[in-house]
Amino acid sequence: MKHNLFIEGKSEQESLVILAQEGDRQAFVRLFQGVQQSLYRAACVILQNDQDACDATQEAALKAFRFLRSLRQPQFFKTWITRILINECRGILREKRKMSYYPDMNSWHVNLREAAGAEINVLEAVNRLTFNYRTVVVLRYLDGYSQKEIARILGCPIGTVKSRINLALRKLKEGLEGQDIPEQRNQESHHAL
Amino acid sequence: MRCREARPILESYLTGELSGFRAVALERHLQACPACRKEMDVTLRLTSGLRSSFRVAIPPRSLSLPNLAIQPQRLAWFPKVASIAILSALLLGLIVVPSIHPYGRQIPAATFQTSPTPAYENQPREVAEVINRHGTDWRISIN
Repeated sequence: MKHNLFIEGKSEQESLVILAQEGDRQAFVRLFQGVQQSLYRAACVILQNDQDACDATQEAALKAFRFLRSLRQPQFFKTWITRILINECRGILREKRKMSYYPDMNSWHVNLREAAGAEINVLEAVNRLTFNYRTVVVLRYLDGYSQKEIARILGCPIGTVKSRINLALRKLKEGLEGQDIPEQRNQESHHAL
Repeated sequence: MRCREARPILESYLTGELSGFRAVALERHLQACPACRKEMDVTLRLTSGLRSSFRVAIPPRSLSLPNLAIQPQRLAWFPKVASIAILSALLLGLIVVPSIHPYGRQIPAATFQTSPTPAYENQPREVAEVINRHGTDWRISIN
């Protein structure tokens, strides 16, 4: 069923959030479809495990649907569900006691056919970061969130976000010293996002 | 602007999140400082590389939605916490505060009575002086 009934003065996403808050499952499915790839890929980098990333994304979707009525500002749906996902990832990592260091690339579904040596170098350097730094890097460079949005997602001051980004970049620079860093590729050669 | 002020804001400058005044100050510094220019190039390459690597290495994947056979609900803890807070405030206002605050309890009338007439007022002058000098109510008889 396709929703064409948008609430006057509201964007498509806000309208869908309001409909979903009233119990419309189809509206929620459409909302989730709009963010699921972004959530899954963020979980992939944070958890470094394909199956865990799927579980975290699905659990985040379930929690988001259950507690959708507690979201007071529909325009913040994406940052809100991302926050739920980050908390899910934190919980999974805590359970597995992998919070600090988890450099195992084998369990991560990396597209080796496309990824060259330089990309693998970067991903391995990201893997060596601790949870807080890795999360900030993912939100910043995978999802493209602003510093203000990251602060909202993580529930911390914007100054903390800035310092975490700078420290993470410094650690990555140290980790990648003397190694290849991939050049920006043509947008056409990338996967459809 | 010095190098130690410029380095932490290079990333914000590259993403356009630096305010106009600071951006201008940083640009001036970059024109004069080759070390910071090099650092900015490294940061730019790294951030571009991060974006590119993430995009290439993690292909999109179709996910199935979990069973949504539930109804969206309000956070269960909120009404409980709110009712407990209101009840606590009422108890505090009706019972606890009056018991410790003087406005709410009955004060014995004697507490506010004026002190009795000083003993020396109705005495002969000599007796009164002695009583007054010693600051007591003892009746001292001179005669």
